[in-house]
Amino acid sequence: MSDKQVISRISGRIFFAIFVFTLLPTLVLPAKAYLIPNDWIEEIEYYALQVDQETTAEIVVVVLQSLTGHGITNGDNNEITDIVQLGVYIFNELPLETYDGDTVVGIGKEGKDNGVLVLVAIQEQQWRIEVGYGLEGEITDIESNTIAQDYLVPQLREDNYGEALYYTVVALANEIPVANQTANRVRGYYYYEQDSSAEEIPFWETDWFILAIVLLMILFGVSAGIPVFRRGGGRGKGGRSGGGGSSGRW
Amino acid sequence: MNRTFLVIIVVVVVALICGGIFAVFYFGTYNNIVSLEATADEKWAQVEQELQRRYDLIPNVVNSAKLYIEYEGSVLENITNLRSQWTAASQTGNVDSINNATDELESGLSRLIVVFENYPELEASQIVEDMIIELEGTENRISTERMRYNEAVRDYNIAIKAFPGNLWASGWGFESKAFFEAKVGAENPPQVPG
Repeated sequence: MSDKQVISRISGRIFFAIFVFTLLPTLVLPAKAYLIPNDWIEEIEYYALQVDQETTAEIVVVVLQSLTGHGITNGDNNEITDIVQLGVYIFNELPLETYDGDTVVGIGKEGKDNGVLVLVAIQEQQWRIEVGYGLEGEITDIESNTIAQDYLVPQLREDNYGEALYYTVVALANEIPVANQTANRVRGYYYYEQDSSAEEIPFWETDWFILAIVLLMILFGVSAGIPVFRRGGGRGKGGRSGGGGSSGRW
Repeated sequence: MNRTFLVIIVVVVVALICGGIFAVFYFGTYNNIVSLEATADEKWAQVEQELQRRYDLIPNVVNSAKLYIEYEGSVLENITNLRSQWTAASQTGNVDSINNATDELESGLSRLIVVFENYPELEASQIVEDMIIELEGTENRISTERMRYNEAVRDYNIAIKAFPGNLWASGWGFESKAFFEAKVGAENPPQVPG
């Protein structure tokens, strides 16, 4: 056997070992337990994607177990526990994963500021609808409150989280006019939830698979752009908001 | 002769490089401070816009509240007075006096919300509910823009007080800007009851 064959065989084995190691966590770790039935999540994702395509507006739903322990901090490393401030922060500063593995900061399209955030904290029974600058005319504070009182609050009181969020998204979307041009880049993901299976780690920081791929890339000297879902970075830029919308309890 | 000439050229080149580096540094610092100041001014304009929004909202609030509240006229009168005080402060353009007037107006409005809470039948009224929602939205917007303004001011103040800005900032005529701070408790906008 020549040296070349030995090297290729060894590197083949190393590759296989790392490949198996990469896949292992996905087999061992429990599947993500969503609070909301998967069918409803799919409905929300599908509907919001259509809205994105037709109007370029992005309606994003974020479900938190609680206003504490979510790990979202402000500049001074204090956890944000006020739902309004939390909404503003998630809307404008928190990098959220998109379908292509990138993260984007800001809900809605850059320059259009046409995003809407529906934020729900289960334990405290609080909701918040944060409207981007660009949609404040279409969805006024009063309208957002009316939508929440009609669709969100009654269903949340019955613990029908899926229905509550889906019909709220639909009602919000009905306020947004159809755009003349279609979105040249859609967001792709519209539903985010705090992972209930790993409460000590916030959901946007757990990603074994990406970590393993990063390790692979480092081992094999691949220096391509590495998509890591982490705060502070954020590649894409999105829309902005300034506290418009409404909030309340159920 | 030739050698002297060479030395002169070297000295001139080195001087040009040093001068060039200094110029880049000098003008870079200047441009940085200018852009930070522009950002802070822009954020201040946003704050003023939201304060104006609240100002415009107050007559509506007072007028519709008048229809419902008979015995609490002093609260409404107080708000109207605070509103005119705020106008006066706003015209001076001084951040500190705007800050004070804003705080007082804010506490006046939260007293009004408390009054609403004392009248359960009032709270059930759609007009009052909408009014509270609108007030709350305005307060949220103010506190958001206020926070962003303060962040911009912090960056700007650091730039003119830290090296290298501190060497030239006063010579260029830059002065540190005042924060627009909320009183303790005032940063929490009134909550919608129930």
